[in-house]
Amino acid sequence: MEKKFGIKDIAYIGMAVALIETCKMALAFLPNIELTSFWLVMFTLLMGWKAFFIVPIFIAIEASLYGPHVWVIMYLYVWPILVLLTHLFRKNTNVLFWALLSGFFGLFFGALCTPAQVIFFTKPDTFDTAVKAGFAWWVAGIPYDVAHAVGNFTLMLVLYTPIRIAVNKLRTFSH
Amino acid sequence: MEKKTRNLLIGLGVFAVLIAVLLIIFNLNKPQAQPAPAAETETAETEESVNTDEQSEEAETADEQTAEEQNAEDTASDEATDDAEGSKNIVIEVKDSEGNVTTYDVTTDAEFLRQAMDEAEGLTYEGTDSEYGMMVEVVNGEQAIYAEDNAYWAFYVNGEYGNYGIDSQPVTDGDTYSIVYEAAN
Repeated sequence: MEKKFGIKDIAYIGMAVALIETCKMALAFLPNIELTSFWLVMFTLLMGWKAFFIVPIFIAIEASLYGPHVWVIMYLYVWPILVLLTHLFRKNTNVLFWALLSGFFGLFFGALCTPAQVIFFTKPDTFDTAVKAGFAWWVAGIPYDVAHAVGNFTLMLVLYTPIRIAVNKLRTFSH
Repeated sequence: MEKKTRNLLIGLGVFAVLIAVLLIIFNLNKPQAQPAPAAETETAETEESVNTDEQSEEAETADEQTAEEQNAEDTASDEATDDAEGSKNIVIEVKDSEGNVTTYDVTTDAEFLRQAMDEAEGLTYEGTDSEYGMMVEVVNGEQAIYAEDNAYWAFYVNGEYGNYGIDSQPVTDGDTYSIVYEAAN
């Protein structure tokens, strides 16, 4: 992959955001079953570190559609964690490995979001209360985290092989 | 290659165990009943509000509408809500910062505590609406805002610490609801 940021990367980012948004809306009726993680992993495998740029653009579109809230701050650090993990393990080609990575990410999504929730709702000298409220907030979301984990695991298990073939083809085409 | 597969299988095991552990944590900490969602969205504004008669009437009619949708059990009692008298007899106690207790006997059809408080004669309260319902700040003219007064109005149901705000606390016949001024440590 080229080190420089090129026109092709801009096109890839556009495609990625379009795909993520479309899939997100199509699956919006199922709680926490999403392809956002899947596409971020796949585009990271395709683009390398440049995939980090997908995240802020995706968030900008989401915020303009649904209105900004605390989740904007959460997304700003949670999704880059996934991109970073994917980039670190990019050499791995085992389906089960990626399904597990995706699943674990889903499982800890709520936990990863909790710090932002705590910090955002802390007033001076009420940090303890905010931590307790944050814990309660996380616990209340556990069923959704589990759904997220199972959904991510299954989707990655099913979709990894065909899309990885496409990714590999695209990579060889471009060089 | 074999070692890799074994590691992945271990990972799969850890994944399953973690899901189980998180579900156990959830079950140990979860609230006893699901709060009614309609009551929360109803007050999902961030403006200050005072319980003037007008507003409480509005809240009552809105509650009647949503109550019919959510709760089939209560439909029978909802039909007779035009009268001031209701089917549930409850006690609301207010304990102020000096320890003086004022008791209100209320006969109501209210589904949630807020309506019953509106119906209690002589009881006044003010607060801030949030996405979780009203945060009560002033009761009978006494203010307890955590950030300002280092105290808060605590809610007890039959002596047990309440799990809900006034907009989602269900009203049950024979229960005692205590509103207590508590200083933070």
